[in-house]
Amino acid sequence: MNLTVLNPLFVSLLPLAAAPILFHLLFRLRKQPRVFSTLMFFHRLDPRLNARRRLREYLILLLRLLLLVALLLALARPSWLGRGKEGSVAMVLVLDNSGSMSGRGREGLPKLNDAVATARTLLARLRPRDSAALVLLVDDPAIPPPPGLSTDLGPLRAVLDRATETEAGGSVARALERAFRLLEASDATRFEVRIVSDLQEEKWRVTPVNLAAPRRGTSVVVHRVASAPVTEANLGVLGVAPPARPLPAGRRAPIEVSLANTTAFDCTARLSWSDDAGHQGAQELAVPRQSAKRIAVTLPPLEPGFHWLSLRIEGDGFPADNRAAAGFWCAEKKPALFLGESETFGQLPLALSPGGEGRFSGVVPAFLPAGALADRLRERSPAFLVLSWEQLLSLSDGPGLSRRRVREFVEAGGSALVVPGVNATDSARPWPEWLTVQPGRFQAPAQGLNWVVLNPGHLLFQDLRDERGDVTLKNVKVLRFAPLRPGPQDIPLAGLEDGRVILAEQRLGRGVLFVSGVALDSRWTTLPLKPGFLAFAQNMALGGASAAASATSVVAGERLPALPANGKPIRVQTLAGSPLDWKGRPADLPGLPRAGMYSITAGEEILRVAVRSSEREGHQQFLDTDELPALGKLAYSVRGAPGAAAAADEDRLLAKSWDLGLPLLLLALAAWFTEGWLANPPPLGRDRPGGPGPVASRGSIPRRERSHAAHVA
Amino acid sequence: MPQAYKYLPPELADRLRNLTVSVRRPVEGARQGTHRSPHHGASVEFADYREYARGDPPNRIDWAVYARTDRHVIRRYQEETNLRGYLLLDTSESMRFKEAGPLTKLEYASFLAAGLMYILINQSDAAALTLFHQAERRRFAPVGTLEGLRPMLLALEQAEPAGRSHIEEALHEIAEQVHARSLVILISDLLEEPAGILRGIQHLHHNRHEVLVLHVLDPAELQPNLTGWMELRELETGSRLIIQGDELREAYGREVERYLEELRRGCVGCLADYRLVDTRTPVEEALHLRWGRAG
Repeated sequence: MNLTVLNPLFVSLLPLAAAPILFHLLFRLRKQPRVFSTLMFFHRLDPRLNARRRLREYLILLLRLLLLVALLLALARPSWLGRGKEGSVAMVLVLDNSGSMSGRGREGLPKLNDAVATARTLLARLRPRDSAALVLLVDDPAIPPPPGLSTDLGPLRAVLDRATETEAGGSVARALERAFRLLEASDATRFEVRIVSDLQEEKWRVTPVNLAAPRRGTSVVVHRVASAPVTEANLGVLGVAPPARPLPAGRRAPIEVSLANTTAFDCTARLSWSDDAGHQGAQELAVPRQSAKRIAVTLPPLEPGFHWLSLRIEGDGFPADNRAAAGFWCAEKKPALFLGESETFGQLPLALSPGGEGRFSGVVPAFLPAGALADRLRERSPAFLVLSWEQLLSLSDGPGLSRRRVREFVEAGGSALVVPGVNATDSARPWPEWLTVQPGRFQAPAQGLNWVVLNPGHLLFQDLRDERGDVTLKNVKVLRFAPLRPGPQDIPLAGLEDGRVILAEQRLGRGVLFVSGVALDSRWTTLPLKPGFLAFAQNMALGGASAAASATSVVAGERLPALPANGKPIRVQTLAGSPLDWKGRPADLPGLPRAGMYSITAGEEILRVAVRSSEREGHQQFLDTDELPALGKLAYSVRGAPGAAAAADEDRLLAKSWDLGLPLLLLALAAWFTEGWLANPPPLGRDRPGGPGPVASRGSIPRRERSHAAHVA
Repeated sequence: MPQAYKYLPPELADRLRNLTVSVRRPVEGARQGTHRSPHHGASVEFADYREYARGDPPNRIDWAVYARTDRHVIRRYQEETNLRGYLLLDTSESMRFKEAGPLTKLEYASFLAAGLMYILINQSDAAALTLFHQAERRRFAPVGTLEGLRPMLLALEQAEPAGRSHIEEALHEIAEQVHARSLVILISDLLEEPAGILRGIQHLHHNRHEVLVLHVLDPAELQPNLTGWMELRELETGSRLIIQGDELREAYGREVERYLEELRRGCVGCLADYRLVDTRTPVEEALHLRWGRAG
């Protein structure tokens, strides 16, 4: 038969078209005849009134039947395949290679195998003059499909041969838009988009926004790849938290890993890891059903430099959400230079290096006289420079002298702190003109004042915020201080309860200069007595290096947030994970579809990217209906995977078809209008000639509303 | 009255007592009465003169005329006689209809017939009654007394609507049977083609009868409530018709008016009195409008 329908449901509703007949019969049965004295006047009006009335009734009934039938058929989207043996087909295969396709199919093999087999079957049905193209749901830089439609199907089959599961989610809308765009340039007589997917809810229940419309006459067919029932637990990696600032070299590095078991089964699995230095480890995990867990992986001491960690969960029921990577820096120990004696700086040297050797912080305090500063800065760059107000003013400010060297050190990207000495009695003057944070006079209120954080989001308070984002440094008293007046470009960091600033940051060149109005000593403030003081002091000393502490982290398939923008071509290479060596323009780089550690090189610039698998791919819920929200208002049909036995000539016939939906809709509209016209005719005899004229009133009866009582009584 | 009749209760009789019936044309009665006769006779109503003929009583010569004209003429007086009223009451099936009015058309027509007969007898005239439909005629000879009226009143109470009307046929029959000039009163819904009815009336008119047509209709027949789809069944024939009331309402009203006008014009052409009454009109008023009160 040369007719096919895209929505067979409406064909099954065709018996409903008989409803008007039923209503007609029921109405006739229920209609009580009204007794009337004579029908003479009606027959005088029109002797054939009854016959015409019946004819019109049957016509209306017929039109209503036609309306319903045409409407149902229009909704069924029939296509006339009369020219099925002519013309050519342009087919775009959309292959779902997302992480969910690594789950098991009906035969126990990965569903991607079934999907590839389906795609092969569809390609095999094409005739020599037909063209095809392949769109992957998840872009895979390792196997780029041939661009555009082609009658040479060899490259497409080669891509299918190399297609492997990714660990990313992909976008149905984006893949469809690409498929529709490919069909725009085709001169074939029929256009098809064949989607082969397992219809995972995470991707297919998403309602698209402004989904592009396909070329007119395009048929969209979704081939469902069956999924095996879930019988095993699945553990996925939710995230890896690398250290926020460079780890001290030689120190064990704790890495926090978040895991989740989204299935209805308790999970026992193993987390194995390896790093760039060849260290490996593993630990057993037990995660109850529908729960999450955080564990810490502790790496052995590492050398200074960039390091990565690759993680993998083994032993669960789904592989595509099991891998993750993290990259981070290890820094060698650096000195924190204190200009003057250690007693001048209170508890700050101890906070920066509690053991004195920098084992935990990577910073080793060193005290030197003011005169040795210039030579020391020339010799080796410190991690942090601390000097008191008095010493800052005591340094000479001429060319090549110490105060100028301090400024140059900060402008070159260093961090420095200017703080009152423990024994300071008055704010010194004159203040250097390049220092925009100006101090006031020392004050010592009897009861002290509360210390208040003015900029909780600042890097200085990292690790000191609770889950709500509040800084945990509370109930800090300031017993003695000199209020500060920050310049317009300076950042107030901490102050007093009355709003006065006592700690501010001044950006100077590429570096940071902290100015404190209070000595970091327990005689000036209770801050050194608080547990968070160590993190506070170390953040201040190492804050400048935080931005480069770790690699960029993304989920597989996501666009990279920042690629090198120097205009040079980039090269993507795998450091850990699936091998990849990709070269091209930054705009052409798709998301990285598999977990691992990658380096992206653009000339001298290197970006390191840690990719983890998408945990959403581990959600084992699939749409088993023919309603696919991700396709929005597109007309489509859902079918099973066409096996070899089902490779009939169905698609041959689809080579050229006529969409009968619109003609049927027009027919329904015409039936509707005609029915309305017939069912509501103008009143009969309005313009009939020979009317009685004005004399008629002489024969009419005057209306009287008199009761029957007046009649005879 | 020995007992109360359904269609002539004492209250109605009291109110009708002062009503009279008169005719425009001469009638031929059996007794002396109050109506003009086509014949001349002894009365106080001067008619004309005629030449004296041999055998005429000499005392009837008008000597005053002789003195002026030298001719012997005799003064003639208009004879006055009583009136015979023949009531034709339609008892066809369509007279059973009642919708907007309080009574069926036959009940209402029976009130009219009883009232008319009472008026006639009360003014010393005679009344006769014929109940007719297609298959049956029930005739009552003219009576001039209230006692004689009793069988007719009882017949009215027993009358049941049946069959079709065939009014023309009934009119031709009465025209052939009644030779003396009389008053013929037709009480019917006249639901037939007007041409046939008018032929019957013309026949009566040709036989010099005075004809009065009382056209009784239910208000719902004049302005029926035609709304939506409805299936109508005709009383007399049982035939059915499905109509869309809204579509026909206006045209129906025009058609009824056209039909009434045709009847009215036809009656005027035959010098017959035509009166349309609906069943909501009080009987006394319907009779009063046609005939004036005595005195």
